[in-house]
Order: sequence, then structure tokens, then C-alpha cells
Amino acid sequence: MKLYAFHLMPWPEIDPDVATKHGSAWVVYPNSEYDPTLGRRLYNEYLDQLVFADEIGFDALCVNEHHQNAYGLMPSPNIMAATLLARTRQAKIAILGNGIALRDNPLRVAEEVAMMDVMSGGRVISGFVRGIGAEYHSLNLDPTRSRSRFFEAHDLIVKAWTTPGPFEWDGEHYRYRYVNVWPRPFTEPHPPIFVPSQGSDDTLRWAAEHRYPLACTFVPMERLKQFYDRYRQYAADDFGYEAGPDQFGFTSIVYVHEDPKVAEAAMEPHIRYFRERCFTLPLPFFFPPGYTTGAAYRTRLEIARQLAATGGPVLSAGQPLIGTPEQVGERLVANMAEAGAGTFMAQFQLGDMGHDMVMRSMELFADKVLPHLPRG
Amino acid sequence: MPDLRTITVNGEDSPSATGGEGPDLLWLHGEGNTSGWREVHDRLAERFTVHAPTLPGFGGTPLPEWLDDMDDLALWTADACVALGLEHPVVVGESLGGWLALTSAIWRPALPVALVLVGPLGLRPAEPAPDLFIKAAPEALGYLSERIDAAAVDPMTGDIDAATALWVEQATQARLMWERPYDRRLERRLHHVSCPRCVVWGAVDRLLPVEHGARLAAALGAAPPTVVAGAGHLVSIDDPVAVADATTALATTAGVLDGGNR
Repeated sequence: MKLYAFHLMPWPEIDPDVATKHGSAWVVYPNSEYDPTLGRRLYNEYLDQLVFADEIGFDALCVNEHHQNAYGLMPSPNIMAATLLARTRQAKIAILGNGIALRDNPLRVAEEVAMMDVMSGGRVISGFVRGIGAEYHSLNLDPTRSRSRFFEAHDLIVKAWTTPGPFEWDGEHYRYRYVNVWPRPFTEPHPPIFVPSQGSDDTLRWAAEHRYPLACTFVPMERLKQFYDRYRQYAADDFGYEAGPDQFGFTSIVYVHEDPKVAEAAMEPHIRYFRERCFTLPLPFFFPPGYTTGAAYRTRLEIARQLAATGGPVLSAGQPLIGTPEQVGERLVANMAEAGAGTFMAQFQLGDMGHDMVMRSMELFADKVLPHLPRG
Repeated sequence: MPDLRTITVNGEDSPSATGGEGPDLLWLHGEGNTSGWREVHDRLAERFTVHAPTLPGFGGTPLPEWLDDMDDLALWTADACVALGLEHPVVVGESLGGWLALTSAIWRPALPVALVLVGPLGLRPAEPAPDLFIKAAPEALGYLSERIDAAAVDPMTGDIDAATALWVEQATQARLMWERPYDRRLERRLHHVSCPRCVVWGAVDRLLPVEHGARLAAALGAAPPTVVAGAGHLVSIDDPVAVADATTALATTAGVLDGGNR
């Protein structure tokens, strides 16, 4: 399997009353709550954690894009990716992903990713996302155009990477008289493209069509398997190939401690912090009108109502791996097999977990879990 | 009861309701699931033949691919008038429909014989209006009228189909007004409106204050707004009689209705 280290770079001091006082940790959570001095320390600690993952042999380090929120402080994932490329030698940097539909000028993404790919000699994995609903509030972008902008921006960027320029682009959303990116990517024909997805059907089919690996975050196993099965079915039925494990990856929270009871107890408040503070994201923030189809929205409402009725959490934490090295290693391998996935994306830091706690867990993972995992 | 029919505009079907007797009146509905036939239509139908088409992307119809901005909807309205057989109707538009009525009258000044604008959007407000897109549906509807049954469309506890339908309708609104909830070109185009016109405003409008209505009326060269006591943003819901009375008054002044008819 491939091992990726995933990070959100969250803000660890979100107001306990964020929901009642501010409504959300996104879009409207006042940035007077942000402390740049603490922020400087956090960025460096978070980067150190990812650099350590490179040192212990992870295949890739993952960054991502979210705007105006306390959940994930990487509004520009390419800045983080460039920083990590300069501080590492082995691991690839997986940008999961650039919110290409959020850019009024997606050619800038083609340029920035190509720059990193050239400078690093091909160490960039280029994920593309639409951006979650909240980004459309934050960036004042019409959510009804999100899907068509995403597909067109993707087509434009890939063509810019693969077709000799200059050429003209005359699309629905973007128009360029001259597409002619300098530099061209180092990787032929272009950096690998990943698609982080929450499982919307048109995205699954589209990713299957292009054979882009799917990366799922915080999706419970049952739904994860459904997404992968749909992808495999589209691949087989519509595009005539069998999708392999290298086309599937998912994130899990990982915390390793020699004492299983201590591990559970230590993580409980951080998982709660993540659910109750980082993910304070009311429905209109998450699903602005037109962000998806009416049918998909209705399905979302059904799921939300079921969860509310059963008293379950509004947000699943996916399949957290919390326990002794033996427990974590066994469940990790079992989960990968159950999902049929080839890429495991470990999230060692969650919510308000401090640096030392994360590093001890990563060290233990390196010593006692990693050597027993099937790699390659 | 109105006569429900389907009109075909540029090859696409839209539901439309017609009722009453008298001069033709075109009703351009607003947002918040208010595209159906309501008491205000019955009141207007006492003196007019009321035509109330459902605008594309509203009332459960999908967001049309061709819809980019209010100009597209204004040209659709001109075509809808042909489909409805309306030559010179009285045009009444409310909120988003008021913005549409204004835009239509700018592009087709000869079409309306009189123009009644009920809490129209479209003019850039002096102070930003509240963002209803980020609010939960029940709270957002409260900004439009306290009399809308907001609980029925609560995404978590209301009727799931009604909640979805409202969300789909809001997508059409988003297309028209997410990035800029007004038309910054509108004010300099208002001089194209040439027919008799009036502005009606709810005294307790929570979306745009009465002063905004006064600014619009002045920019339009219309009389100061008729301010309806106790009414919120959607006056047609809060006080349908007041909307019917203001329409009758303007139509009489414009010579569309015989004065003795009152």
C-alpha cells in the first residue's frame, strides 16, 4: 500500500460556544479570534509533523484548500506544497486539492503546479476539487456554476499541460486568446491527478472516466464502499476497464499509544473538539443553493434526518484508528482490504491535539506499525 | 379559481394561472415559494384579468441553462407576454419580480401600460441588505414575511419535498443575485421607464427599509412609496388588499380602469 500523511492544519482554540455565539467556525467566525503569534508556532509545528512523515518513509504528504475558517488554515495549498517541497527530499506532495472552480483564472493553477513539479523533479500530485459549499460563501462565487466551472477548469488545465501552446481557449466560463504556460510540467504527460470526493455521483463517474484516483475524507466504511463500488461499476460498464486498488484512498485519524485505554481516553476530547467546533457548519453553509442537484440535496437531508433521529453525530470521523500499535496496524490492513483501497492517508493531528502528543504517536507508529505494513 | 394552463416560451413550457375579468394584468412573483395563486391574485382578479406565470427556475421548475442574469428573464417576460396574448398589460412585480418588472420596462418601455413595484429589489442599497442565502430557510423566510409557513419548509423537520423545492428555487435566485444582489447598472437605466408607475413598500420591511423604497421612487420619478402599515417585505402576503388597492389606484390614474369602476 501507499502511505500518505494528511493534515488539515486546524485552529486549536475555537470558542467552545462557537455555534451559539457565531453560528459557524467557517465564513463568519471572526478573525479577531485568530492569534498570529500562535499561528506562526502552529504552522511550523504542523510542517514539522509532515516533514517527519517524510523522514520515516511516507510516500506523500497531503495539503488542502479551505477559506476563511478555523477548520483548516491552508487557503493557499500551493504555498504549503512549495514549502514542503523545499523541506523534504523523498515524499511526494499531494495537493488535495486545488479548488480550481474557485479560481477566476484557473490558468494560474496550471502555472503554479507546473512550477512545483519542475522545481521538485516531479514530486507533485495534483488534486482538483470544487471546494465545499462554504467556500462559495467565502469567495462570493455563484454555487450554481460550481460544477460546470470545475469541469471546464480541469479541461483547460490538462490541455494547457499537454498541448503545445500557444492555443486559444474559448469556453463557457473562461476565455483565453493565448494559452501557453511556461514552465511545462516536469512529469510526462502531467502530474498525477487525484480527485478528493464526498461521493457525488457525477464526480464518481467523471473520475472513473479519467481513471483519476479517488481520495475520500471522513467517510464511514459503508458509504466508502458504496462510493468505490459505484466508481468500479462506472469503470467496468461505461469505460471498459477494471479499477484497481491504486485508484482508491481514504483518510483515517490515527493515534497510537502502548495503552489502549489511555489512547481512547486521550483522543476522545480531540474528536469531540473536531466534531463540535471545527465542523460547526450549518446546512446553508455546507449546501448553498444550487451547489448540487435537488435530488442530491434531498438525499443529504434524508441522511441528516436519520442521524438526528438516531442521536448519531452529524459528522462521521470515518474509521479512526486509535489504540496500540498492534491494534492500529491490524485494523489499518483490514480496513484497506475491506475497502479495496491502495492508498492509506493517515491523519495524525486532529483539532486541538498538541504537537508533542502528535509526535509521540507518529514515532510509535514509525517504530511499531510501519515496519509491518505491506508497502509498495 | 384561476384557470391553470401551460404556456410555451421559446420552446420551453411554463405553468401559468389566469383568472378574473377586466384589463390584462401581468403578475411577476417574487421569491420564497410565492409563485402560486394567492389571495392577492383573487383581490386583483376582482378588477383585472390576472395572468400569473411561474418564472423559469421557480415553483419546482429547473434552473434553465440559458439564465445568466435579469436581462435574460426580462426578455423571457417579453416573450411570455406574446405567449399569453398580452399587448399592454398592467405589470405588477414583487421583490425579485419587481426587479424583473423594472428591467422589463427598461428593455420594453412600451409593453407595460402601468407599473406597480412592490418592494422591488434591483437598486443598489445604501446599506448592504442581509444575506438570506447563509441563513437557515425558516429564518430567511422570516425576513420576507412573518406570515409564510416557514416550519413547513424547515430542512430538518418540515416537508422534505417542500424544503427541497425551496432550495431548488433558491438556486435560481442564486444565479440571479448571489454574486451581486442588485444590478449596479439599474439606476442609470431607469429613465427608460416611461409608463405611469408607483412603488409600494412594507412599513416593517426587514430586508430593505422604506428609505430604500423612497430612493427608488425618486430615481424613477414616481410619487413617494405607498407605505403599508404592519407589512413586511412581501406586502402581497402581509396585506394583499393594500397591493390590490394601490394597483387599482394607479390603473385608474393611467386610464386603464374607469374611475367609476372603483
